[in-house]
Amino acid sequence: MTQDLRALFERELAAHDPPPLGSLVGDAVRDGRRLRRRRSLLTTGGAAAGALAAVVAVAVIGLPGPGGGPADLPAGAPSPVLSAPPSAAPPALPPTAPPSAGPTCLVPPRSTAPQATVTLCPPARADYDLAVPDPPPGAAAKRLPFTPAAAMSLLQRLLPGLKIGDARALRYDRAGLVVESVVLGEGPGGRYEKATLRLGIVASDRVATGSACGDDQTCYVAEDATLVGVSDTVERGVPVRTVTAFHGKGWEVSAAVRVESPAATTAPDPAGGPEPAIVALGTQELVTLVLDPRWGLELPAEDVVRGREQFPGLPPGKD
Amino acid sequence: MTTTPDVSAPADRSAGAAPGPRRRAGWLRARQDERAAADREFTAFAESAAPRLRRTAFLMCRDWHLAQDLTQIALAKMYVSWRRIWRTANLEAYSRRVLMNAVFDQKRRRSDTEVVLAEVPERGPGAAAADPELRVTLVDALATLPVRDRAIVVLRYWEDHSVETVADLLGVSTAVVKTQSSRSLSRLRDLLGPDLVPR
Repeated sequence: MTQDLRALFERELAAHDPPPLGSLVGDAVRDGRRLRRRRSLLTTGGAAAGALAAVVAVAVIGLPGPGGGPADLPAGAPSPVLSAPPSAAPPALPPTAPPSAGPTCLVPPRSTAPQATVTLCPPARADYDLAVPDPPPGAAAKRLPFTPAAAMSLLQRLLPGLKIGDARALRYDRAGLVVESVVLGEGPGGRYEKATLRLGIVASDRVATGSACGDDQTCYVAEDATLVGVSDTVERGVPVRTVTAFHGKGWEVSAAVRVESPAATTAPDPAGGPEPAIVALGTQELVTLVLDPRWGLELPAEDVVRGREQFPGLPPGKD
Repeated sequence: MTTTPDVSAPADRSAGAAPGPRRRAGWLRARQDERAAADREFTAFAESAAPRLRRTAFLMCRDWHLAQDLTQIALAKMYVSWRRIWRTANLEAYSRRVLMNAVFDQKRRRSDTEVVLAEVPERGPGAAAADPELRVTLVDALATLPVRDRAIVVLRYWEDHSVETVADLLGVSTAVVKTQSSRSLSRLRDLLGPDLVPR
């Protein structure tokens, strides 16, 4: 019977005169390329949007309660505001902000602007030290355009207690780079644990500072790095902690740690969320990492040089 | 994707490096070669699979132009995942599955806007051969079936797949495939006559 019906199908198809295929394959390739580009943009944008949503959610939860103080801050806790480096001017506060309340949020500088801007607060937690690490002496010396290898080199310097390998560049173009590597370090139980660390330096047109702020951008007063998101997600059943900071020149740095050890996720850490598999990659360490002022679209020249030697498999960048 | 070979301590990473421009050129060339090879493989696969996919799509939708669009959508989606799938064993089955998903998506999108203007007339035994003007074609009769049943008939009797393969392609159980193909054949028999759809 199958053969009979198949013959019937063939007869039916033979009766219809199909149009020529034309450039079907070429068009499919073109559409596929466009889809691929859109998907990669969505992936990057989605991560940023997730971080933004987390920040807004934390900001809403952290609004002052009826008692007056921030809802989840213990009395006497330091304000979760980015502390400016000594050389930088303190961020301007809106004239309506009560002096006693303290600068708990960074607000749009152009309050009279017609556009709807979002005021982002740093996560309202007292658990993290949000101080921007002081750059080491000589850090302001020569800087060169970023490369994946240079980013890995700086990452290695900032996380000296970890063994880092299997580095690869997930993205590298003029608008940013994303590198991923496997890290080995001591876990909470004293045993060596493995995790995947992904670091992104991505230009973001969603944020701007001061007079550069456009109509559809979120505006910051501060020129310094600002922690905007600590989020926990689950990728294929494995928890991932992502910490994102906006730096003042319109780009963001994010670090995501994919916890590989299921045993390490059973005990929650004091800041909430899963215990990091590796002690040296706890949330505070990630916060300090992404706030480091050396990150940028230009990286220290010594890291560019050292990165070439230590990570020959990564694209070395433009000379 | 280029990776460093081993996990090692920072101090261990002091191997000598080739000059930057040469290495960059090598990396870029390798990446471009890899992309070009993947594109060539995809084009070869697409050129061989497109006529078959388009015929299947036509049986599902009765419209060559729509069939062409659906084939193009399916191939474009495969192109996006090509680097992941191109070494898989059964690209043919994968392409059928992607095509069927495209058909289902298209049907879902248009189900709110399509208006059925006429029903295919019910035919008695032998009527099909009697009056060619009123002859109901197999494709027309197929169109009266729900889209999933249509897919089962096309995959089972046109593509000649086993019940298990059809169940796997459509994500349903083998019992569903058996039941629905039996019902669908019965329905086709009613419309086309027992001579055209033998028992």
